[in-house]
Amino acid sequence: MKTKIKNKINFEKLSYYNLKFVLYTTPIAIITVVLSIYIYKTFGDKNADGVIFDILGIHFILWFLSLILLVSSLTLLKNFREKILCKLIKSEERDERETYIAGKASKSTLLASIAFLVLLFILSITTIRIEAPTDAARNAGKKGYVSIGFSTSLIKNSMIQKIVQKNEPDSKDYKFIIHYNGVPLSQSALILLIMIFYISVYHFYKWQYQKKG
Amino acid sequence: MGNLPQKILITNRIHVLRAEKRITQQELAEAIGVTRTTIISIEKGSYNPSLELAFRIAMYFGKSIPEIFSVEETNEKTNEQLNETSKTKE
Repeated sequence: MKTKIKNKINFEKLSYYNLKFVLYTTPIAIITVVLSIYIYKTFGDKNADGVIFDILGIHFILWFLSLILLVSSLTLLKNFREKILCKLIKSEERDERETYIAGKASKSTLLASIAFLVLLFILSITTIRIEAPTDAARNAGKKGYVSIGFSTSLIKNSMIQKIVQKNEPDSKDYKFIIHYNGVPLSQSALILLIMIFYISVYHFYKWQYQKKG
Repeated sequence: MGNLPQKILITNRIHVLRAEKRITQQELAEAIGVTRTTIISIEKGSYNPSLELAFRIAMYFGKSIPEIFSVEETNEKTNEQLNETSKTKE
């Protein structure tokens, strides 16, 4: 048991050293990226040669692996996560009252976030199509249509998506007026939006409860 | 639920004791290990301290907890009593 705790503490220390390495060498990683983009644009597909570029390349690999290790530590180590993320989102609890307020704000944030995620989920599975026929199609007797529904699939390019795509009317005869097919954000943009939402809502509720006393 | 009122209001004499001792809110906060905003909230009555903090405050002023904090029953209880007396009169 004592050895387990000792190992856990050492891994936390390692995580702190890793964090410092990532923070202090991030400017070098950024320079490496900028330099490689510049070289690619200027010299095309030619790879950069030389000792300096080799060192920068090796450093970038090490930095990238350290970053993966860092985010894994944040996920797995509770104490490390609390210390780092509390500093990052500026959540301080200097005494019992601030701890109490942080607790209330966390509960309110959790509930608001669940509601927001439900809204995002509904928006992501909703499909709305309003299409009007072209002049030629109208003359041929075709009518416009409004289609509202839900369409979702846990895996991309699944059978359901193929069926939906197969059953869509021929777009040659229709011009679309509204065509909504889920939230128009990429995966990473969506995740970023959710993170920003969590942090802002938490600070909003914390400010509100602090104002009340 | 018994005879206790649903809501009770806890008041305190911290601002009086502070004035007697001639100390600021900041000094009191530092002495008992909290922030100045916590002292403000306790004096205003918008935050009730925990038992541990109440003991710290009492020990600092050299008083007992009941000498610093007291309980006031809210109007809800008073209204109930009024309603009962008016019913018995009828």
